[in-house]
Amino acid sequence: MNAPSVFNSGYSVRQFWDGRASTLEDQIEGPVHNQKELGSDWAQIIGKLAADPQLVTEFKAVYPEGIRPENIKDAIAAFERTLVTPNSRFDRYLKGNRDALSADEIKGYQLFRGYGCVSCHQGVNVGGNLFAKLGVMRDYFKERGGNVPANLGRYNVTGREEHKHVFKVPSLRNVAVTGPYFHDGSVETLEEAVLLMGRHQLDVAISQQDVVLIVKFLHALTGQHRGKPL
Amino acid sequence: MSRTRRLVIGLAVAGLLLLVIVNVRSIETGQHTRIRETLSELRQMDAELNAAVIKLRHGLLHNYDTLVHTLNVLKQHARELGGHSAVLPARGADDIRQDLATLSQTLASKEEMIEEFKFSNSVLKNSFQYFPRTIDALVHNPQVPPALRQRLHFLLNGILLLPVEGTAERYEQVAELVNALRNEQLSEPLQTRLDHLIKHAQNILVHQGRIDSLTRAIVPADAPLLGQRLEQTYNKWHESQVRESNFQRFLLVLVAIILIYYAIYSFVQLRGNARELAESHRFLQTLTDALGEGVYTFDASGRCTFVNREAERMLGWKREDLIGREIPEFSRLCIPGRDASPGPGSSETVRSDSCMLTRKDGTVFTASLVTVPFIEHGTARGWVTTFQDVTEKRLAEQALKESEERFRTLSTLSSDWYWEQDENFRFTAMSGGIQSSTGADPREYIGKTRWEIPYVGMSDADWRQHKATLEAHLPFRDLILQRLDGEGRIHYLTVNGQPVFDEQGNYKGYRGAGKDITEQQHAQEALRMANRNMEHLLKEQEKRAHHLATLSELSHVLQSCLSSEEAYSSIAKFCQRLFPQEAVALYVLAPSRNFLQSVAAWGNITRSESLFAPETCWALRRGQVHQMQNPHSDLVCTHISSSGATPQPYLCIPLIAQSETLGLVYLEFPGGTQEESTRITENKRQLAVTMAEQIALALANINLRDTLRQQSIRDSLTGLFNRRYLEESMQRELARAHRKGGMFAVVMFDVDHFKRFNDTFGHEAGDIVLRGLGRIIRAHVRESDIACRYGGEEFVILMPDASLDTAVERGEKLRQAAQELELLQDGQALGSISISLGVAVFPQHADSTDKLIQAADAALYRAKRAGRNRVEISG
Repeated sequence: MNAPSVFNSGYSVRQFWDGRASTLEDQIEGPVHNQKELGSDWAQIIGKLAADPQLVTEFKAVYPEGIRPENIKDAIAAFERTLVTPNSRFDRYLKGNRDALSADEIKGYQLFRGYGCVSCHQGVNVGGNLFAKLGVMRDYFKERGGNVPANLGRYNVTGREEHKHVFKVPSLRNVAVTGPYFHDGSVETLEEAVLLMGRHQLDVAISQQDVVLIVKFLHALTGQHRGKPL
Repeated sequence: MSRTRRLVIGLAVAGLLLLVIVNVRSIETGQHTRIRETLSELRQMDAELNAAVIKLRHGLLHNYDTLVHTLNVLKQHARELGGHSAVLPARGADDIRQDLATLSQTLASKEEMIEEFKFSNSVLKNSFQYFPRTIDALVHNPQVPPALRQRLHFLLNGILLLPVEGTAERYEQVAELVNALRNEQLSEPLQTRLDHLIKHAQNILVHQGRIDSLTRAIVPADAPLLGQRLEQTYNKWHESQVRESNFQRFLLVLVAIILIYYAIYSFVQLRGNARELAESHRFLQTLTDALGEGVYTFDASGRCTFVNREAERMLGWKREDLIGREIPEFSRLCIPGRDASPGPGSSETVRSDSCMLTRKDGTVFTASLVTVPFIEHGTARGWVTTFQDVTEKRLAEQALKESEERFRTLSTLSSDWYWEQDENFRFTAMSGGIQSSTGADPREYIGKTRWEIPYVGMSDADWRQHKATLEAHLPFRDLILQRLDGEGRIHYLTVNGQPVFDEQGNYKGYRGAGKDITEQQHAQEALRMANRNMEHLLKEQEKRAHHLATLSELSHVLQSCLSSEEAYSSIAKFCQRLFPQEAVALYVLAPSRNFLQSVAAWGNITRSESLFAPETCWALRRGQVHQMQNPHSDLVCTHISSSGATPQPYLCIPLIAQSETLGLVYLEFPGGTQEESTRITENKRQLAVTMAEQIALALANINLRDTLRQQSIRDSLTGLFNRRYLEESMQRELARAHRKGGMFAVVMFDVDHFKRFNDTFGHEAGDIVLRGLGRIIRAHVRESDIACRYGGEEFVILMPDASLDTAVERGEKLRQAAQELELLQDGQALGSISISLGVAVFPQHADSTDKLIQAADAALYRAKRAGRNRVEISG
């Protein structure tokens, strides 16, 4: 499973690849109880937090009811919402700074739009705000093989036939630094990802040259956190 | 009481109602405002969401952020409303709850639809982009058959019209066209292109249709916006709530006003009643305060309800302390039902003469007490108790009884006696004590006056005086009477008496007491004697202390005396103080030790010679005190002149110190009479001996001091002063001459050729020369001169007040005398000697001692140089 970055998750529609969590707050429940992640429960977590007197005092100042699951979730979500990475070179370009992107990158951006990537990867986070079927034009899983439940995507949540292989469209901000890719981390490089996307979502074979340009553009989406590049 | 309670309850209810009124609200205002705001925003957000969907449908918007954002806000608002619904009243808000549930369902399905919408929209967008491109490429390819090209044109038209005019027929038509294309067989790569085209066309068909139906479902033309219905329902509910609560409030205010009115009315009435009650209570208080008895009341529970001032005073409690207190707390021993105070329920009147009441301080007193029940409807509702403190009466009775008892015991047991007389002074009672002390029968007295009793030692005048006192009805004290008992011994009696008057002040007779004081009388006599002796002893003691002090002072003075003469005169003065009535003489043994000479005397010495030989005195001969008291029995010293009559008594006390006899103290007493002061007493003898010892010691000291002094300032060979003494004297003389402007001379001389003399005849001869010269010098100097052996054969004479001429003249005489000196050694003549002299005078020749000596020395040196045996003056 490829854990989605928490950066910029505040702009996202639902959380997780399959969107099983409606909000950031709901998302936190997942890792807490997942055996492969924290494998814990709220009583245990509250017990650990309450052992730190300073934390208890400070917590009380913000949440008068004290340490409770909903308050912990609210606190973490509030923290996550601050994890935005603005001011990528692409952001600066869009704000009017034509020099923020190189000529190749600008070409890459144009290709990104021209191929139709932008139909799904749009908005503030360049994606992340809708669900889409992986393999709109060509059956991805049939070609790739492998039949694990995680591949069923949103179907696992809704149980509706039309939701099979439907995943959240990931945000492409910082995509260059958040590999590996796809819901299961099966794709190592951005180039491969771009090629696969073109083939299965658009039914086009993007030329090697264009892939390089698009990937260059994607690198321009790497933003900053607290003024530092990621 | 119950009226007060009613009043309090009424007021409490009114207050409670007012509190309820203030708090009556169907829903809190702030919350209501928030709900309204949320509902309004919900509506607004839904409108925005709908607008975004329409915009997306028509390609006016290119991202889904707005959709995501508005949906998130809507979800949040829906959650908030859900939270608010929890505080809504359980009753009457069902419609709202139902609408709320519908709202969240609608929202969920809308969200789902929007998700689908977004996906379809994205797919559609791309397909619409790729489809024309692909169809264009196929149409312009010459290998494509014209029929197919025609169909592709149809398809393009149909697809492009779908978003604008998406009728069912159109969809069907396009679907048929697409299906027809599936059957086409083309060569590669045209077949791939065609498949690609078909896929996009299929996408457009499916997703355009879905978009249209979703848009219609999400934004239904006639349906209200999200929350609109809920808002209406809520508003309706809220209005009805407000109406209802206003009505309740009106009712509550009405009830409260009535209650307050009632409370005020009750209060005014109560005040009136209380005033009346207070009036009657004051009257009761005044009434009971006027009583001389203590009054308190208590109710059925045994608690005090009223006390009068007398009760307060007697019990020591304050009224406010007693009211409400349980009766047993202050009348402990009057336990209800068992003692004087009746218990609750008792309706009898109770009396008690000896009830014990407890004061505040814990003390108990006896009271006579009456308790009367206060009956209402046949049962006792309370009691009134009146009480009197009978402690004093009891105590007085008891005291009288005890006093009589005591008196009876006293008069039988005592050695004193008690008597009573009638108005004619005749004894009517006489206690037995008189018999035990004087032996007289008390019966003998009855019916007689005092003067008819055979007392002795009372003159007629005494009796007259006593009778006068009695006639005047005056008290008398310490009347001393004497009476002989059967054995002829005198008994001294003392009698006190005082008149007796009845309550009207009429004289009724006398009564009193008598006492045998014989032993006291004797004891007093003895005491007087003892006192007299004591006084005498004290006086002696005082005198002795005085003597001792005087002796001590004498000893001090004598130690400070510098010469014997000074000591003698001091001794004389002190002896006068120690023996003012006697004559004393102090004799000193001459250096030749063959006679004694009187050196000091005082008083009138009538007998002793002033000069006598030691052996004429018994004291000196025996070396101890000799006392002559009686010339017939005692030895009389022969230094007592025998001329005249009987010698006076005297004491001779030898002065002996360090076993050396120094002299004698002679004490002559006036004698002749019986008077003690004129005789020799042991005290005086002791005193005289002590004094003599002090004198002997002091004289010995003075002698010793003299000798030591002589030894330290004299040259032992020549008997002249030594050089140190000269230097001291010269300093003194210089200071004196300076001060007085006087003068003095220094004559320095030595023996000519003394060394040759010494060498020829030896040291022995030298000493003879010096000793002989010393003799001459001593013979020639005046008393004020200081002659000294300056060193070796050198001499200096200091002549105070001497002028140069005098000094030279006297030096010349000395020179001549030295020349004439004949010296013998072992009977052999040593030949004549000569001296050379130098003279210097202050202030003429020098102004300091050293310079003066130097000047004289220089003159002496000149004399030597000039041929010796001459006098030279300092030049």
